Amino acid sequence: MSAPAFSRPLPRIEGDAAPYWRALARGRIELPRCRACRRWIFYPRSFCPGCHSTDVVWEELEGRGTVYTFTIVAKPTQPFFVDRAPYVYGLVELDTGVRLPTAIVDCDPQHLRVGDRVHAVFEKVDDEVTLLYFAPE
Amino acid sequence: MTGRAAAVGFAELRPTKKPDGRRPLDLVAEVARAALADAGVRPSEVDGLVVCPAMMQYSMLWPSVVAEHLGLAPSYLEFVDLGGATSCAMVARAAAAVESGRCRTVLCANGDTWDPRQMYMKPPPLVSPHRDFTNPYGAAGANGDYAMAARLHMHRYGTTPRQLAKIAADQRKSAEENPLALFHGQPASIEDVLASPVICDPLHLLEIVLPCSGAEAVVVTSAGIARDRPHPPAWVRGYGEHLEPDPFQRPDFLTTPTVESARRAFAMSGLGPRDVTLAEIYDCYTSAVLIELEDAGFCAKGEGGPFVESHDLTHAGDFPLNTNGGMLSFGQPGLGGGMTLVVEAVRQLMGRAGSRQVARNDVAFVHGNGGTFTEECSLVLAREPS
Repeated sequence: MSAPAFSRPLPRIEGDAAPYWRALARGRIELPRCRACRRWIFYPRSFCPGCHSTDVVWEELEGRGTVYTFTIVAKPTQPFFVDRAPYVYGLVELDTGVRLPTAIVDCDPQHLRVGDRVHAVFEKVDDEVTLLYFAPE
Repeated sequence: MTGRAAAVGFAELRPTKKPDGRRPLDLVAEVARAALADAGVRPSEVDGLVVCPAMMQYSMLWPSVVAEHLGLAPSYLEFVDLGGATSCAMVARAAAAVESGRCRTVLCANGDTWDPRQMYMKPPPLVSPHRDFTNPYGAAGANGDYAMAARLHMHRYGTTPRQLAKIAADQRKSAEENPLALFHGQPASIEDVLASPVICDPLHLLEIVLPCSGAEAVVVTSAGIARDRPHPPAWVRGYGEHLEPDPFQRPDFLTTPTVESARRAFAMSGLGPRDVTLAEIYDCYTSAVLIELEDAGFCAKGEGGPFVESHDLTHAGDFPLNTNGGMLSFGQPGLGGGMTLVVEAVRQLMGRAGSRQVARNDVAFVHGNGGTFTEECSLVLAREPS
């Protein structure tokens, strides 16, 4: 008997976040930024959660940063990932300061360290969804 | 307002991993009746009811469903949904309602079942947009988030796996004196904790809380009523809660709203961390306990590792912590509400903890942590009113 196939968890491309995913599909990282207080807004919203200004504009960020922290997931909670463990799930702090939840790929998990330099890796899942991974430099 | 409400009775059902067909409502009813009997309170005297979500029987209008089932006619009803901060916040709301005169005697009741076969189906949906940015990358729920906190703490402060494991091992020793605990009769040393399977590195299986079926309830009442009960009151001297959005984007992932919730609770009580003689601190993970100890003011930021290493955390130790075994050894019924920690604090303050009674039971600090260090609630309970 084969194991049941669990569908891959994918983002909903809708609402305030849609431009983020459309930018990733073009190989770009873009986030809304508040023109009043200069704060980057993640996850994307049409207003600034810091000052509630609606004067926000989408700006591009460079896909370089450092590993803020991470875990090596041995026992996933999401069924889709069970056969893919172990893998590295973590937070990458972009050089602009925003911290993105992501997975660190193309690395030896046992040698990965907090503070390691990483760069963006775009993975096209389908015509709509591209995911943003990071890999050590 | 401080010290004008007190916990005067409690009850707790034996947690189990084997669902027996009873519904959460059945568990709530059983534990509520037992708590009211313990407090010497008749159903007609209950004029306040505080409940929380039951994951396996999620229902609209839950407070009125529970009130109707128990035949209660309260004038104050409340539904608290703050994850691991829920139970402390339930008691805080009950105390505030009593202090303000809205009601006199409040039943706070939590009960839930847990069926692993249903774990991907039954919990109520969490609709935070944040999930679209975590789940596609393999986020491992709370396990992953608290493992990331552990790793950052280790990297920045030199905290060791042994120090984290000691929290679980010391709590397991206290569980040896608690026949209700799920892990009663299953001792586990630091080495055993470290030898258990890694779930999300650096956290091991025995550093991660165990969901189960169970129920707990506490009765909170006014000073006048509290002095005339079968058991001595545990006075609610202080409470504080605080939420800060998005733990991943805060200036520091390891500095939590506990700083503010504990500050508020201590300020209200007129007491401080040095006055605390026992602590019941939310232990969904060992890393959570370590960071909450720091942020509540029991040691400086970054010194949690040496702190737990240098203190005996068992019920017989110099810093009694999670003296019923904590959720790590007792079990965690429901949506992570932590009511067992509240119940144990009240039990210790009343001097009813039997073979695990702490030597000094003057002041208890109880803390709940919801989400990933998102919303926090702290209580200061004491044997004496202010």
